Order: sequence, then C-alpha cells, then structure tokens
Amino acid sequence: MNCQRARELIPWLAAGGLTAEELAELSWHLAHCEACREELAQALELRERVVQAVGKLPPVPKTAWLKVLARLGGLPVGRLELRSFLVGLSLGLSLGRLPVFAQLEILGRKLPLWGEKEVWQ
Amino acid sequence: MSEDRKLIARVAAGDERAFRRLYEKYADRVFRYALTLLRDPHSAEEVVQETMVALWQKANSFRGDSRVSTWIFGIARNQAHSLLRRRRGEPPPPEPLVLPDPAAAVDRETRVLAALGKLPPEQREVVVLAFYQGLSYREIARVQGVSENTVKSRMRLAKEKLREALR
Repeated sequence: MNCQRARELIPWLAAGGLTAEELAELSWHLAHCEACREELAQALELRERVVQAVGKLPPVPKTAWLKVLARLGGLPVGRLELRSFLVGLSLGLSLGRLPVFAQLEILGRKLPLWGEKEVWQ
Repeated sequence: MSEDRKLIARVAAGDERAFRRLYEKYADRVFRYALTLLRDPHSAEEVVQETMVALWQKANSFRGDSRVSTWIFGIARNQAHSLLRRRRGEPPPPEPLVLPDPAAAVDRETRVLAALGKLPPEQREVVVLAFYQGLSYREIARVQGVSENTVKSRMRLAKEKLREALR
C-alpha cells in the first residue's frame, strides 16, 4: 500500500468503517509511515470535532412522536378477539386520532367496521 | 441477529413497542442528519415524521442486506430530497448551518458547523454520515446511490476544505 491509497482509507479508519483486510493493510503501512500517522491523528481530531459539533445540534422536538402517531391514525395498545370457525370479531384500542378499531371476519374475509385497518394489519 | 434487526422484525409484525424503541434510537440521529441536509428545523422534523411513518409501514420490506441504520438513513435521504423537490422555488434556507445562539458564535462547535455548512451538500452529507452516524463508505455509497470511489473522493475533498477552514 502506498501513501495515496493509505490517505484514501485513513478517514474511514477514523470513522470506523474498514474491512478487516483494509485495516490490516493500512495498519502495516501506518507502522512504517510517520506522515500517514500524522494524517490519521488529524483525521481522528476532525472526527471528534464533527461528533461534538453535530451533537450540539438540537434534538428532535418532543411533539414529533405524537405527530407520527397521529399520521398513523393511532397505534394499537390493546386488542380483543372473539372468533369461531365461521365468524370472528376484533376490537382494538389505540393511541392517536382514531382510538377505536373494530373488524368483523366472516369465513376468513375481513370487513373493517371502524378505524384505520392499515395500522392494524 | 443485531438488536436493530430484531426490532425491525418485531415492527414488521406490528409490535408498537419495538417501533417506539426504534423511534427513540433513531429520531434524533435522523433529525440531525436531515438538519445538516436541509438546514431548517421544521423541514428536518417533517423528514423524521415521514421516515418513521415509512419505517412502520414498510418494515416488512426490509430485506436484511444492509444494516438497519443504512436502510433508515436511505429512507430519510429520499424523504429529504422529496421535500426539497416539493419546495423548489421557495426561498432557500438560512446559511450557514449554525446554532441559533449568537453568544456561541465563537465556540469550537459553531466553527465546525459553520465550516460544514459551507461544504457542498453531498460532501457535507458524507462527513456527517461517516463521522457522526458511523456509516462506512460502502454504506454511504448505498445511501447516496453513487460509487464507493465517489464517496471516497467526496470525503477527501471535504476533509481538505474543513482542514483549511478550521486552521
């Protein structure tokens, strides 16, 4: 491995995304090349600075989760099923915009009675 | 099987607790990634919502040939670009990418964010995905839909510009 190839891989060593083979090759080169070791030190410092800086960006607003739930029409939090060989009835309770779900099943055919079936199926 | 893969499998089966766990694990990461792409908190939040809705609805289409994080960032990127296409013609977001607190204008992190904000978007994205999100160049190539050599080249150029800006 020459210095050009090593410097192509060094940022990815700093980021932690090399294969074992690439890592072995690069390690051998680094053991014998002071200039590339300096390059690695700079890449590690840059990585650290990026991690700290991007980590300072604000987190997602707390309300985002509720908006996701609302978009999905509510997530199921409980379900009751009564069924026999011919007929089944499912009743559900969910969090979100449409809190109640009901579905009738006759001979394997599902007939939504209330709520958004997509979330439930 | 990794924890993320187990969670995705449970989400595909309709397990809302697993969905909540994945949300807690990835929402901030997706938000910050979208923020570095779009530079607008409202748009970034919209990307988080769209990504999480897609995650719930499409979990059963996760083929398992990549890490879950790569799949999620791929969805987030598509959502961010859809948003950009829809908003083409609207005024551009504020520049550069900095924290809103002016008192922090000289601190180390703000200088880095400002330098990141001046990079071309595709180079900024590579730096954030590699250094902050921990994706390999192969994974980033997949997310960006470009060759691995292009990703390496973007990283090299970004690194040179950041080094110059932060000297």
